[in-house]
Amino acid sequence: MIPITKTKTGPDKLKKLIPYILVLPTIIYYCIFWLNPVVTSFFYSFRDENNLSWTLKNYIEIFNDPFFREAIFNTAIFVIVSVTLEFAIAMLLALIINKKFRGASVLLSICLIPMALPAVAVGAMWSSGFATYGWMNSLLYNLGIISENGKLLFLAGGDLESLFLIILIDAWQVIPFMMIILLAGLQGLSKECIEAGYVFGGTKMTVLRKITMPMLKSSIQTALILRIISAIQVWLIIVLIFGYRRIPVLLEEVVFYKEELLNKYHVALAYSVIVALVVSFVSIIYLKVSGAFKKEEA
Amino acid sequence: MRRKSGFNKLLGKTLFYIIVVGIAFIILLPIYFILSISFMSDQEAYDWPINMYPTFTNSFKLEESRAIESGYLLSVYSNAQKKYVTIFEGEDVDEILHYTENKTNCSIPKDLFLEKAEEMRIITEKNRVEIDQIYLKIDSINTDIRKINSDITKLRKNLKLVQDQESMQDMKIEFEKELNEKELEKTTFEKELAQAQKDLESLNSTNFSIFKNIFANYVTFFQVTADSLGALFRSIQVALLTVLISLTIGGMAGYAFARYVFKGKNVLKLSVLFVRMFPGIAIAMPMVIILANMGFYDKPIGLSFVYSVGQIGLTTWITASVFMGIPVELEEAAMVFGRSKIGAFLKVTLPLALPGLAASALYSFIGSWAETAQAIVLTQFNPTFPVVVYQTMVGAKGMVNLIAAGGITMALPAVLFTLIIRKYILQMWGGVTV
Amino acid sequence: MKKLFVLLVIVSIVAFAFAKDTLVVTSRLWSAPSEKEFIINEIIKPFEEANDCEVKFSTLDDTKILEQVKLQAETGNITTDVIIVYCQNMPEWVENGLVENLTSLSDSWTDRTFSKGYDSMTVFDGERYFLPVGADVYLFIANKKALPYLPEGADVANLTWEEVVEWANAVAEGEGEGKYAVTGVPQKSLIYQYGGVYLSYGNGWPWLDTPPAMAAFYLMSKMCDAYTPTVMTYDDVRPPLKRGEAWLAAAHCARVGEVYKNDPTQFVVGPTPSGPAGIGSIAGTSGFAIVEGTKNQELAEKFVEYMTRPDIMLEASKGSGGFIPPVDEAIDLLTDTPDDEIIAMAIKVMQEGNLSFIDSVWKDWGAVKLVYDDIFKDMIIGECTLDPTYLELLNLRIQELHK
Repeated sequence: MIPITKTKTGPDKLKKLIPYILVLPTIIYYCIFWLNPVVTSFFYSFRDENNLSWTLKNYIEIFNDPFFREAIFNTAIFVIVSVTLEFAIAMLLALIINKKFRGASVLLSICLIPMALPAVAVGAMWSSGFATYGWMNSLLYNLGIISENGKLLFLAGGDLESLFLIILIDAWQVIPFMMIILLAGLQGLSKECIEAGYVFGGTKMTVLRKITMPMLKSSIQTALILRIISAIQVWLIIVLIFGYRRIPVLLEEVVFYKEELLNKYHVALAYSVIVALVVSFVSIIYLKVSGAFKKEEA
Repeated sequence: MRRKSGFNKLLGKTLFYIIVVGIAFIILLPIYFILSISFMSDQEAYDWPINMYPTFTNSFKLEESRAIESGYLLSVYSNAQKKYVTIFEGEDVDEILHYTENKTNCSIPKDLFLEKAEEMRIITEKNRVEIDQIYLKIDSINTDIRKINSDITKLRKNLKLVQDQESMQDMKIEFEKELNEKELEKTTFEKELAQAQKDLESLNSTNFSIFKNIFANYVTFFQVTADSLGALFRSIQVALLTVLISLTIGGMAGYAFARYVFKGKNVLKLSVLFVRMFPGIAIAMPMVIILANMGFYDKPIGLSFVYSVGQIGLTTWITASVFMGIPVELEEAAMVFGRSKIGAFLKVTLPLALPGLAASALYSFIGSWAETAQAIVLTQFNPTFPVVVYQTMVGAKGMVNLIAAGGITMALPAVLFTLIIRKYILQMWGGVTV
Repeated sequence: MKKLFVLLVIVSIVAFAFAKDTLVVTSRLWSAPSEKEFIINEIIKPFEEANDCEVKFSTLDDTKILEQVKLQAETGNITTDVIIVYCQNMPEWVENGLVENLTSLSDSWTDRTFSKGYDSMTVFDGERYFLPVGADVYLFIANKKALPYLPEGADVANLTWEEVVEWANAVAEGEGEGKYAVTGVPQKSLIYQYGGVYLSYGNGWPWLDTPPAMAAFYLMSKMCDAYTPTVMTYDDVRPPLKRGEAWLAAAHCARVGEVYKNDPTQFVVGPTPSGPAGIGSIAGTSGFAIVEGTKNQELAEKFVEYMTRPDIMLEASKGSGGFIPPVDEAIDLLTDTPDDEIIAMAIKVMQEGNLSFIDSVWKDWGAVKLVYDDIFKDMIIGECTLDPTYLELLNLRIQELHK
């Protein structure tokens, strides 16, 4: 029971505090487990690996590395193509299957399998699948699509083809997951608004464009921004199938410096700072363009 | 009019299911192969073309060894190549049987083997003369083929050299002619060879079939992976703890974002994204040291703390949009009817938000479930399942069937988890009725 | 409740009193499932029984072991007692002070002599930190399907590199696709696979401006079409060989041994091919070390003493892959009973071959490997020709990595 005689300022003050109390655990958590190591890493990226003196050497080494430009280029292509492709397909599928049907739970479970497989298994699955004598060619051969000597050389393509192969593999793993995020957003929409749209003579396309999409905006923004961030940081699947330095991307280079070379951990940290800058830059542009900032400020 | 719409409905429904099945098919195709390979023996898994499904029985062919006095040559029928392929040559019966079990997942009873061996010896003795003749023939054909191969290679090389030389066109034509002849000759020899081997088959061998142990790879996997069940249990523990941590902490923040306007909201909301900006893999080491200093090294809860860093952000964003979808008026109405703020939240908002929260829990679960890189460093005596799978796989590089068995085992609990919470998630498709 | 508590205390006291000492051993060696089983059951179990202790033996890859122990050292809670790592990473262990100096311990043993060749990897500034175990050389393996293309007069047990080039090219011509495998993925073992060719023409490996280097790379450039089309994606030669995608390879003796033993009727094995300077091969080794700060010093010393006994080494190498024991007495025992073809062949390479070892004179061996990977990608596969200026240029990169 709220006492009626309570002064007006009391609950108001409390009310103002509530959101901060709710957010506080997250802030504390991040300070301990995230800010702490990141700040340390940030400072170490400006220090020499051996004598810990302050230096820009780590950054200079990266900018002089011919693989850096290649990594930027490959990452850019990967992000643009994979995010567009994955989002378009996931959105389309989510819109299509956004209704109650038998077997929905089965489909849901199926959609989650790709993400639940350990990376080593995914790597083995695709490298044994795309190998010249792998199951992909076996399947095509058994279906009569290719002949004994017409085996497709999936893994022998040039740099760009290999990159697209990686995009395909990545899409297989990500699209089902993204589709579910979007479906979760679609379920939150009120049916009335959409029905109203039809009542007032909207066609499917206009309802989709004028009502469904704007209402789904925050879900889409969430899904897209998270996807862009993780697309910029793709690396494991590339290393599992092509190894290091064949299709350099930003994060693969970070891991390469960290794990494959001796005494280069600080260079890896500097690389991470660059990656973080790239991610921030891209996200801020994205948020500006998509209008997430504006909406919040209004 | 009515009938037409009925027809359209049916068409629509069919199309709909075609699409659903299509999605499932594309997702499942590679998984099907991994599943199928996980039931295959080493011999099947490395055959070309790989069979579309695992076999349940293996046919064996036993013959006399030519290289080893009183030895055996054992072959197994390859469904892929449609012929018998040799797998082992030796005289020690126990060694042969042990080898065969590893190679084909079939354990041949020793009695049966000895009986068949006896049978084979009798047949072979009976046809000794003919067999020796065929052997001689095979050897001579092999020598011929080898010679022709070397000729063909030389011709091809020469042909390449004269390809663009205008002045040597005569030579080129001659080479081509010769090459054609040689290749024709080679095919004839190969046919003869195949025929000879076929003739031999009925003269010197006995056959028998054995049921294959379909689950052999799984058994081996659990045998060679120490503490695998304990690790599986710990993994579930870690994933559930991660769900718990990220849902409470992230859910609170998400609610604040959805319901309140407050200073610094924008910055905070973006900061939730910022944690994903710095590559986790690069700061794994300092993060791990912090955890270890707090005494969480080698404990499931320690891992959940690490995983939650990435998951809280996602949870916050999802829960924020979930709570935003639930009209604040409902809560206010409940408060009018005498419920406290917390009561209103628990009785009204939370039940409505459950499907969305379940979805978000699912993401946290999946997101932390298969993580390996940090778990390897953070655990030692209490590894999670991906870690033990990884350890086995490092050693099993050339055993794709074993890797497949591990991968399938890994995916199963995650699928089970979705089935358990499917009640809530499924409401997605029904739409929340307000 | 109280009773329960008392019971718990009693149980834990009893458990503590009877608790065996536990030794934690993490190894990069014997990671294949069957080898691991053999080592645990046949080699380690007798040790446990004799010393009434428990040995927790697990396998991981080199970098992960290093990461784990570094973490333990940084947090001051050392739980790993003994490690087995590959020679390539040994300098880092020693430089970071993560492993104990074993000089006096190993000097006190009189019944074993660690083979001299491996000292360049395991001894640092005259002090022994690692006890070599599971040494390797390179062997040659061929699928029997390639035999019809074998050049006349050639014998797999006694090949020369020139014959291999002719053979591999013939297979490629005849089959329409290359069938020769190396590890094309960077940072794997290409430098060793090419090192064998190099050493069969003379000494100087891994320097690139020497006559043997030019000869070796000239020969390798002659077979640029003989590699499988997807050679750039191989991080290990086992899967392509097993699939039948590749037919020929010169590879690490344990890998070759595994493939051969898995399909003894499909493959033939020989020593690495020879050249004017004889059989050439790189030899590497893994090594035992005791982690600095171990809580089970005595038991750890007992364990490494036990594991490096000549008879135990002999048994371990017989039961696993095709590793050679780097202890002279064990090799003598082995040569008396050559019942395993792979080990016999590996020993032949080791005793007759022109060997080279990975020295600890490199700032970063991984970066040296990368130079060879670049040559493979750009010059061999890319240009298909020998480019001496390019090699001399890359030699400068190697020079920079020399201490």
